[in-house]
Amino acid sequence: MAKKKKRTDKGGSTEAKAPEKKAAPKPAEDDVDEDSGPRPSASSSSSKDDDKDADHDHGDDDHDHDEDEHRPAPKARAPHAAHAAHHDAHHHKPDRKEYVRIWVYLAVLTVLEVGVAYLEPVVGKTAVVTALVGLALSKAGIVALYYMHLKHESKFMRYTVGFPMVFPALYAFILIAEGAYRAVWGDS
Amino acid sequence: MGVHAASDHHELVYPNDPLYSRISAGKVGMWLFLLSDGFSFGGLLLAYGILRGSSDYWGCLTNEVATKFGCVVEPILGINFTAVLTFVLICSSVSMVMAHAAAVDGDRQGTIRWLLATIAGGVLFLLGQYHEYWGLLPHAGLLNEGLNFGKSHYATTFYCITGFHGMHVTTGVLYLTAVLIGTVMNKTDANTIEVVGLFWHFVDLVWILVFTFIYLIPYG
Repeated sequence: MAKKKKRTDKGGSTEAKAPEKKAAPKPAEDDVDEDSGPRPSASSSSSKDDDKDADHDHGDDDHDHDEDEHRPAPKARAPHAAHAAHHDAHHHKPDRKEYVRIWVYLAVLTVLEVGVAYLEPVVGKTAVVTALVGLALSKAGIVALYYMHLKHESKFMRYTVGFPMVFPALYAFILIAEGAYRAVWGDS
Repeated sequence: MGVHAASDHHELVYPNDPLYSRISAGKVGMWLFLLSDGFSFGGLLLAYGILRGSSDYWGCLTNEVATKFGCVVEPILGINFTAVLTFVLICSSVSMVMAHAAAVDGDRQGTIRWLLATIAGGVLFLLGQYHEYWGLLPHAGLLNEGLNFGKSHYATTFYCITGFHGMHVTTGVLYLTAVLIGTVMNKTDANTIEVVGLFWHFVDLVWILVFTFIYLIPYG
């Protein structure tokens, strides 16, 4: 019990909040030092301890992550809900090596973009525009997935963010198609 | 389902939503704001595309075009300098995620250092944009070289879109500074850093698209 409590306080974990734990006064030795740093947030998508929980919970057959009394009982949950819980965003731990790797990718893609922009006389405008748009969308996707942590959010959070963005892209596609039609067949 | 204060520091424990899991209200709010902001930029870029696609020429960039259409020659946008600014924003994005990682680890000094680096990147970008518009010695700047707002679609869309983005960078620098002060005073948590990070990465993400559509796509 004492071990669990310490884990909750230090890591700001959102897991394993048993009712008696909330009610119990905190021992002085478990207090977080005021000067130790920004308070790790309970709602943050990352913590060491959560990561440990993730390792543990992923082994469970029912994908149940904690003992939270506020969650519906596993049997009452729909399969998709259990799946969403399985992808609980709080199990992601920041990976500094991955961040640096992404930074290198972005820098390389930027150099590539600039190089491609100068290739128009060689390969033609259509090829250059296609390559540039592809590179830009790849870079934007990488930033959203890794730096904005969408990759580690729940599936529904990703849909909530990604689905509305389909419409401007669709509208752009319609405009481009219409422009191409006019260019080939004229206004009639 | 309620929201509980889990410790003496009033850390909020958010209900484990079956669809969205334990996501903070601040994070949801920021994502919704970013979606609406994304539509704003999307609208601007679509308008830019429509105007550019339907123009007989895009930018009065050569004497030949000036003679044919009776326009005043305008400067070509510089790619290499803006590529450096893009790299600066990318660097500030990695420093932002490092600030969040430090905050998750409870490393306040590290968080402060990385936040400072991120703010420095934002300020450097704004200085670069000022240089591009008005010119720092000995560069003349686009305004002095004849790229004037309202004179052509080429000029107006350029200033509208890059200016709107510049306002976002300015807002981001101010927001980051406020969070930095809060961190120095030990009044922030990892969630605060993550939420400001979302805004900052969005500014970077939008610039990636602006850089491509405004600067890189050939004029011909």
